[in-house]
Amino acid sequence: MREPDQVFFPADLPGVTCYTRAQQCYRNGHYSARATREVFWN
Amino acid sequence: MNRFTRFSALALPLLATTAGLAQATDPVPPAVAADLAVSAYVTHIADTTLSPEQVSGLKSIAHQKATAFSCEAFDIDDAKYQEAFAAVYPPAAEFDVKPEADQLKLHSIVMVTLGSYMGSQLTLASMDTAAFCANAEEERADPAAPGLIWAAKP
Repeated sequence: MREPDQVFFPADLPGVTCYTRAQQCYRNGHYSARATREVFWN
Repeated sequence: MNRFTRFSALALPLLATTAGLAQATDPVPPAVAADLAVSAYVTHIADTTLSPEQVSGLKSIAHQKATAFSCEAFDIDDAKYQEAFAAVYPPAAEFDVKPEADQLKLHSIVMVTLGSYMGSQLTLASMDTAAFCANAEEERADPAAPGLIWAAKP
């Protein structure tokens, strides 16, 4: 069973929403490879 | 330490004790919820077999291939695709030290990861193709976008 995720909004990336467990970011409701990489992998 | 781990170490404890982080049980756009469901499954099957960077790279490839299939103005640059795939596919040395059954399992996990993300991205593209493609145009126009495998805009 999936556990609930948590969401946060990087202050320097307007319009971006990220999820901590999934480690995925979305810009305006669409998956963003760049934001995901910037937030989680840089 | 990446930006998220820095954020986690510094801010999450504070946020957790004050306003708290929003739970994803709050309203999540349906397309994002669907994408997160697939990501959760992929994370589950990849577990310790693939690194988070490999999983993220495979998602990026799948996203761009789905875009090329769904959006008229996009195509895949085969050389860039092969380079991106080689960067996330486990190296030969990792296979060589495994028994044949484990080699097959490793290859299968890579392919199921890629296939799962292909399915999710194609689904998302079909839900609102115009918005999906417009978002991809923004990605393509961003010179800092990592790992692009799309051919140059015609």
